[in-house]
Amino acid sequence: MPKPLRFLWRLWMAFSHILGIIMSTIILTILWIVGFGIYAIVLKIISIPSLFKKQPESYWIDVKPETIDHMKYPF
Amino acid sequence: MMQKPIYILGISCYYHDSAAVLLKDGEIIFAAQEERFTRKKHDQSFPKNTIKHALGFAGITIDEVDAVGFYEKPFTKFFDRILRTFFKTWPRGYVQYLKAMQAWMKEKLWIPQQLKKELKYQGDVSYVQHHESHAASAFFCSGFDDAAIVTVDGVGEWATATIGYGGARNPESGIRNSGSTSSGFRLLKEIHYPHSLGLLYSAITYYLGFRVNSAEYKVMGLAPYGEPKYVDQIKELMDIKDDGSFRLKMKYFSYEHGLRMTGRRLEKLLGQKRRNPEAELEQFHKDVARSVQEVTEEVMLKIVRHAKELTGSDYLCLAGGVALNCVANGKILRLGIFKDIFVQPASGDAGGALGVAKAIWHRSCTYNVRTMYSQQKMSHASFGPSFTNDQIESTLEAKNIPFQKLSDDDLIQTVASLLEGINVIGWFQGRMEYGPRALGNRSIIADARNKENWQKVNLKIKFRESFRPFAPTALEERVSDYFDLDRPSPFMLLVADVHPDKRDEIPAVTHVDGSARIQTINREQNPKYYDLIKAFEEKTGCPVIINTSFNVRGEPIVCTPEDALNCFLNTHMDYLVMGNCLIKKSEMPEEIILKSKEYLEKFELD
Repeated sequence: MPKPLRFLWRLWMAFSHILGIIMSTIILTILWIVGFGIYAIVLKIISIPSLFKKQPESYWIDVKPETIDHMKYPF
Repeated sequence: MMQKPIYILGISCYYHDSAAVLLKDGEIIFAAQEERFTRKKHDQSFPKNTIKHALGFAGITIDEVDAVGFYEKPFTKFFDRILRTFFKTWPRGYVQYLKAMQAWMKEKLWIPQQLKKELKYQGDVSYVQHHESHAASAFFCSGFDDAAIVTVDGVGEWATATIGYGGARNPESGIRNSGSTSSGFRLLKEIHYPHSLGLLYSAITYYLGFRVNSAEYKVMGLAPYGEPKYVDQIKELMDIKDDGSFRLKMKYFSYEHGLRMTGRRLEKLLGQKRRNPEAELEQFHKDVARSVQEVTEEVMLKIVRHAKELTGSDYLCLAGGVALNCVANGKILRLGIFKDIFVQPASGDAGGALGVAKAIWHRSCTYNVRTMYSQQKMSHASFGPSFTNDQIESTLEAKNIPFQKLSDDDLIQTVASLLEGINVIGWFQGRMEYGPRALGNRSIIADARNKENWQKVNLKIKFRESFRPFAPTALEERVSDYFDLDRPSPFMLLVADVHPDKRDEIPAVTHVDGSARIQTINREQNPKYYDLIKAFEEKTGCPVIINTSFNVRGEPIVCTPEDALNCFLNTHMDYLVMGNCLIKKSEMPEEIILKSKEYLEKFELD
């Protein structure tokens, strides 16, 4: 790439990086308010009864054993 | 025809201390943390440099690797735990959400793609849960056939602490599993995020003005200077059951929704504001450190007691970041309910790379090999890169550094003589250690009998806080003469008392409470280092020296001769021994030494 264009290319890349940050922040914010917000409010309402649950005698939780096949999956 | 060896690559990254481990037919042939190559402490990036070194060491390409494993389940972590936490903390968790979403979307969910991009790896990737990786890293390296396994750290997917069992019995019934000839392991119980002993310790680390995920060991070192005056307040932060399970009262913590660990409620409870980093340490801070240490020990002792009840095993394996709390480990050993304990030397997240590789080997590959697997004890941690004398000499000659080359015998005798008194020596030999400790290959060593060495190494060489203690390396056969310890501690993971009559003899490694974080050494583990201490003992009668990691504050432990030379030139170290080359500070040209300020600025304070 010729030298003068290299400078322009760097400038463009820096601009697109900033634009990317702004865009992703806007999109994620909308998702936070709309998508997460609605679901979170529903979940909070559903979980109200659990606030009145008696404390358990132990906080240990049984572990579900995993099979060898489970290693194939990232979940 | 010779059967092709089976290579397994384990990877851990994207949280802190990324690492890679390469196994050949189930045995570790290379293991290191990425920070050593990138020179960025606790580097969390994809460990491409470590993997390249590992493949180079084995003389293979990535195509010859039979299996690649990742140390946790990224989808479970993100889609289950992290997203659910976002819903729970909505709307307060917005800032954390923004930060986390960008990191996860950009790289953390794309492990196979990263492997393809960085290494041109085309095969499948296996995934093992975070705490299963920790458990495997401890059990499969312990040499025990039947053991309780306890893992405790900050958080994995959901689990923050687990109890497991390794062996051939059914732990519930005590009956040997039918047809089982070799031991596997499984987790039995776990505690879920946000309730985490590791994060409680990190939260208090943050409150005390130290860096989270980095400086927890400073809190442990600070604790003996204080009194446990705030135990009640620390216990107010949580509900602890007799079986060691616990629940944190989240109103005191902000790590679930914010970028800070604690908030005003904790400050109100403890009666003082959070200490600013680098501000003066007051008695209050020491008392808080002591209090959180005591509560941590209490919970750990309860957990291992419960593990004993659940499994009935006589042996215990420990892993996870909290297992680096060697004061607690020492108390677990002295509890006397286990015949022996094994603590994985790379207990932090770096050890996850080893755990996943070992889990793949034991679960998927053992049927492939000629010999049945037998439990092998990890006897040392020297699995990193090494450098020949020729490479070291080339480095020194390229920089016009005057040095003296000695034979093996002369080197040991000369360095043992130099160690007597006030000299501080950089000791760079053999393969770099895996895990957070320098165990005699990338170490700064000095005479433990000279108390002045404590402050000299702290302030003029490591440039770190004056309260920080130093660990001793002791000849294994003499450890009981000096310490209240009746067994080897090769990985510096057990704290025990120095015998009262010996405290004045080795003041530089005796902490303020009379304890020491002991490393024992035998000749099989590291012949050169053993011979050095043996020669020192023959000259002085003392089989104990100071051993601290070869780095300055905030710097990863040195990896290459260049790193060691840079560290040596920019600190007040007196001698540097690399391979068979001896370098004297007094012979260095003045223009190249002591630019410590510029050197230190390269590293972020921890």
